Formats: sequence, C-alpha cells, structure tokens
Amino acid sequence: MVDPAAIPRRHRSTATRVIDAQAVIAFAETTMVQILNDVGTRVWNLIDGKRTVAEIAGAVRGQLEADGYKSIPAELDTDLDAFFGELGAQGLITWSGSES
Amino acid sequence: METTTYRDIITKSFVESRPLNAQWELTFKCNHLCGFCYNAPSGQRELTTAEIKRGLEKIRELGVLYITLTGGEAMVRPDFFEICGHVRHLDFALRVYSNGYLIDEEKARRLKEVDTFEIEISIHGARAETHDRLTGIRGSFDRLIAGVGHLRKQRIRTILKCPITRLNQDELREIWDIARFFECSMSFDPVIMPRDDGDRSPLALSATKEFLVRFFSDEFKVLRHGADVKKRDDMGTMTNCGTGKVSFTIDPYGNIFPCVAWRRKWANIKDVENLAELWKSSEVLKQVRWAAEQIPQTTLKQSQSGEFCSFCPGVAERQTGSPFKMYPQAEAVADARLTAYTTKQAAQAVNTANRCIKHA
Repeated sequence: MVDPAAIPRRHRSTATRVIDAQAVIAFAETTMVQILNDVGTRVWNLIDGKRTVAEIAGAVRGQLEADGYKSIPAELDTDLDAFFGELGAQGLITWSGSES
Repeated sequence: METTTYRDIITKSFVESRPLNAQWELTFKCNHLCGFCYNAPSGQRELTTAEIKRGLEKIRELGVLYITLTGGEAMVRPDFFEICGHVRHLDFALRVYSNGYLIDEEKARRLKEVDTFEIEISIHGARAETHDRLTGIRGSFDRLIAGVGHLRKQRIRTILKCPITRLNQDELREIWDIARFFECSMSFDPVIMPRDDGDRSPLALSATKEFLVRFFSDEFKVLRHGADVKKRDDMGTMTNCGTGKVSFTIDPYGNIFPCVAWRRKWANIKDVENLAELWKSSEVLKQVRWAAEQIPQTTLKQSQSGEFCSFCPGVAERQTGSPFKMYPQAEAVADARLTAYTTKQAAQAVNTANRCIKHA
C-alpha cells in the first residue's frame, strides 16, 4: 500500500513525450521505453516532486470528472495504488516525504 | 499499465509523419581521417552554443523524443556537455554517435551524469592495424577499446557499429567477439555511401561482391542477429523508408534535411519560426515523402533484385541525379541478398527432394 502522503518524483533519467494522450517514457537506466494509457499519463503528468499521492489521485479524479467521464471506476484508488507500485518497482519514480 | 506497444507508436508516427528523432551533426570537425566518411564540410560557420540551444527549444515544440548528437565527431566541441545538458533539460532522451577516441573515464562519467540513453561507437576492425588504417589515426583502436570499457563501467548502453569495408570484411567475427566481450549490441552496415558533395571515392572501400554474398548467407547469420534474408514485405503497400517522416537531420550550419542521407534542405534551424507548421507544410518534405512512397512500386519493382533492396533515395539522387534511379551499391547489396536467398532456397529444395527419394 502506497502512503497517500508520500511524494513521488520522476527518476531523473526519464524523458517523456505525450503522443495521442499516451506518455512515451524513455528510461536511460534500463534503456526501456514505457507507454502509459490515458489515466496513467494523467498521473505521470502530475508527478512533479511536490504533489502527494493523495493530491495526485484527487487531481486525476477531478480531471476525469471535468472531462465528462460518466462512470469513474470505484476501484480507481486501488488501481492508482497499484500503478504507483508498478512505477516504483520499475524505478521510474523515487519517493520522498514518507518512509515508502 | 501498458495499452500500446512502442512499435505501435513508431508505426503510427510513421503513418502520420510525426517525428520522434532529430539527428544533429554538431560539427564536421573530426579527430579521425576515415577515407569512407560521407561528410563534406563547406567551410561555413558552424552554429554557436546559443544557436544550438535555441534550436533544441524549437525542436522541443515539435514533439520529438530523441536527440541524437553526432558529427564529424561531436565530442570535439568544447561545449559538447553543455549541449548534452540542455538536451536533457528539455526532457529529450539523449543519444550520441561517436568514434570513442575522446571517451576517457571522466567523459564516460559525464555521459552518465547527463543520462545518456545510448551511445553508438564506430569500430572498423578487430585489430589496431585495421582500425587505425581505416581511421587514419594511429592509436585510435586502443583509445576506442578503452573508451568502450569506460562506457560499460558506467553501465551506459553501448552499440558498436561497423561499416563493412574490403579492409575489415575478414575480421567481422572478431569484431563481433569484441562486442560480446563488452556486452554491447553490434550492427554491421554493408553499404558505404558517397560523400555528401557527390565524391564517390569512399566507394572504393566497399566490401567485395563475393564477400557480400557470404555475409548474407547462413555462414554469417549470427552476425545478422539470426535474421534470415527475406524479401521486403512492403512492396507496393508501404513507403520505401522513413525519410521526412519520423526523423530529420540538422547539419553544423543549421540546415535541416529530411534524413542524414537525403540532403535536400527544407529549413534552417536559425531562421525557422514555427518548425511544427513547416514540418507539415514544407513542399520539400511533401516531395520526399511522395518519392519514398513511389519507390517500392517503381524503382524496386523494375529491378531484378528489388525485393531484396535497401534503397536510399537520398544516395540515389546524389549519385545519379534522380531519387528513383538505382545506384550501384544498392544493387550490389541487393544482388548479394538475392544470391544468398536463392542459393539457400535451392539447397532446401535439394534436401527436400533427397528426403522424398529416401522415403520412396
């Protein structure tokens, strides 16, 4: 479980372009290229080393509502939790502001 | 998390002519004297640091992901790392092409510090006498090997690439072994290009036709990463290549070309105001994209070995005056592929026949 107060920061070796609402992330540490879906891209764009996980989750929810998403999945928070976990496991983000 | 593969992104960018990579020749100055180099310096003033930085900002607005810094030898510029830093500051992924001569322990560390995504190093022989003969610089092989060692120590993805020439064609397996020793990727290029000013003297170093047939046979399959020689599967349906579509090239004077080989200027990075708009509206780019689309159905269909041909319209135009006209190197390599292909097919047919006879 990711600490909602934790602050994710993009790994310094990433480079990102958003193409058709999908973030294309080139990661020099692994030389892998990762593609994110629409929601993942929204999250990635909000990772600025200042916002907490809770703030990012709230902002994403707000964006989806503003963009007219009729049904925001009930499991959004769970999905985001897993997503942050995956980003961390891949080394694409580092953490500050908590012990995570 | 993944909804689309990177290949999908590349394909879509290709179809929609959306550039992902810009290759920037920072300088034509070089510390090597390779006889097969295609660069043709014109003596104009090369761009300043500030001009390059401003140019990178314009490219950023175009949505490009990768910046590839090359030359000449890009690392001879005193501001090389300052430019690398700006590339990263603008959130590009950084690629570097180099001859490796200047990469000592400190330079490798700095390449790591600027988060180099990958670096491609040219190797021209498995032995100092061959490599140094082709580069024209004594000691260049030893410096190259040391440089690759420093890069690998920093865990920077390193790709060795070898233009095949008649001087190194008998050392390819040993070159492959060097790449394996350093855990580098390796690629061999069978095509030597004429110089950008049309001078064909580099072609004298091209690999022999006999060797090229061997290179495309199973004897060298491992060095082709296990790939069988096969017919192009895009004949009549796809464009010939990505020129003017997914990447472009800038020379040291700021001139922008559709690709490294096709030097039809479509802008200068110093003067252009809206690069994204020009990328869409440029008549030069429209012409080269159109030409590339015609080639599979015209030039390649008319050639006996066209289905096996890696045709470059830029080289064709430089060498023959027309982007559609077959040129000798492309034909020689295609013929070699065709010969290797038909020889293998014939051998397989004989084997099949022998098995049938045996069972009859």
